[in-house]
Amino acid sequence: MPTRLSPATLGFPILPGVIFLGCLFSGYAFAESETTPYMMVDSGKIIPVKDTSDVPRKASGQTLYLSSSVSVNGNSATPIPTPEPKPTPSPSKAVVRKDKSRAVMASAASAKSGITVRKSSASAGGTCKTAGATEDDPGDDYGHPTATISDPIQPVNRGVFWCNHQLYHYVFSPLNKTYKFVLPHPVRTGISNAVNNVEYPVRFVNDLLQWKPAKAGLETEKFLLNTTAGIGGLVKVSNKFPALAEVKPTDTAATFAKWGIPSGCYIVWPVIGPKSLRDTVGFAGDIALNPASWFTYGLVGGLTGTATLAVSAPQTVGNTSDKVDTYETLTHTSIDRYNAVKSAYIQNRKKVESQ
Amino acid sequence: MTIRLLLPVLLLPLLTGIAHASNEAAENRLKSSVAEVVTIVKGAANREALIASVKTPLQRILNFSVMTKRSIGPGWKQLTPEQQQEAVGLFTTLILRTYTAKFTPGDCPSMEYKPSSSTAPGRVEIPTTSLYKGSRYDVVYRMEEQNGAWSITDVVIEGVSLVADYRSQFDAEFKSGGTEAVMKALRNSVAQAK
Repeated sequence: MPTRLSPATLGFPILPGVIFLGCLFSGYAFAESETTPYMMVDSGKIIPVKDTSDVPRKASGQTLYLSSSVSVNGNSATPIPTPEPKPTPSPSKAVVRKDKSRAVMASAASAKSGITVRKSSASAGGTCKTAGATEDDPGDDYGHPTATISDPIQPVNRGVFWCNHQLYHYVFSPLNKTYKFVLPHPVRTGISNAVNNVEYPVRFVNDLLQWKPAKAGLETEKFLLNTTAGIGGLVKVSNKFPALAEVKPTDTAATFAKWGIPSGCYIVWPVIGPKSLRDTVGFAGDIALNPASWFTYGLVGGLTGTATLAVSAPQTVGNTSDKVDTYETLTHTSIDRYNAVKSAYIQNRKKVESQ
Repeated sequence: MTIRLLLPVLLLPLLTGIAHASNEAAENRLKSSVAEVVTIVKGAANREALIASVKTPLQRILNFSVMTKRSIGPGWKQLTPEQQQEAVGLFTTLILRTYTAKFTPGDCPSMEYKPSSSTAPGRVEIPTTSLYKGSRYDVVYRMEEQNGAWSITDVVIEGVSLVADYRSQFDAEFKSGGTEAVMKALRNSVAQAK
């Protein structure tokens, strides 16, 4: 049916147009009655200013003031006296100490102050020089660690940490001892190597995501070598070749760090242990990339219950045994277990992210 | 992600490394200490004998007074000389326990030395790779010279500095209760960790 132009159809676009023009006109009308910023005062009396040019002309005897500088009282106006200008502070001399260990930021009052950079030591621990302690001990660069993670929920974290410690003390530590007793060292090493080998996609994908194709190539070589010559990863043949042996592992959390995602706050998870917020997401990514998880969670193939256990058990046991050993080493001779683990975690992650 | 933390310290052999002329003294000192400890570990009859005899060379190479001072941090100046001495003694016990806990008679990690670097005059960092029970650990020894003698002032294992780790713990104690809390915590942990 062809559309026919009816008055209603025509009226439809006209109405907004009328409103628009009305606004324009009314704005123009308001603009006309806008006062000028100037005020003409003749013997204290305000005279209406008709001249709307930028600076109105005045007759002799009249004084032109800016409206803002005049206080109005009915029809009379008195100028507001300008306050005495405050004396500007004399620019303080830049406080730049030229000692070897550090330089201090210059006084902000001086516009010409130079901004000095705190020189951080190039040490592997990643710390920068502290104020007081370096006066007599230049080697003490542990005052301000460059790597810290905020810990806003520390009471909660400490609670979970305590629970984890009880779990470690009563469950995982005895289990670990049994594991070591039942399985001899070569077998445990074999399991550990196989588990590490299966985690190859995690390292490979993340090397690519971090734009390190050469490293990804080395990881692939390592994987192929260990799978074939190392009988399914049980023997780490790649340790014999320095180029392959020194390839540093990486994970999803390190990729996120490379991409510049901030670490977020420190969280202690039940059983899993401490992770920053970013690393928690990275951990989930690692699980997703791990082929063993694909079997465990039924994403690939149709494995029965026992077979799934055969795949997931070494994974869990191998990784847990390492973690239990590490935890034991860290906390056995610590002053405060929570801070010992936290500091070790932060420092280690910094290293892994920089690899 | 697994934090592979083992504290092997000074167990040898395999030395490959390019020594810079200025850092050679530090490296030689480290290597000779390592050789000494290795001999003891290999020749030890049992764990108790091993721990007893390895303490002397470890105390010679590890600079415990500097390590204690830096671990305690700002509170150190507020300690009396007696307290400082006590703190060094307690800290020494703690660290030696940490190190010797993992020693097994006859079982030595092999160490590869990488090129060392000098971070400041009288301070050297010597990176090494320690191969122990099939796992590789990156260990960096930080050494400093005092009166012509080189000693280890920090050990960084897989990025975790020993002194920085203890410093974070002591800082928290100092903030909560001052030097009293620091000394009390130190005494407690030595008493508990056996």
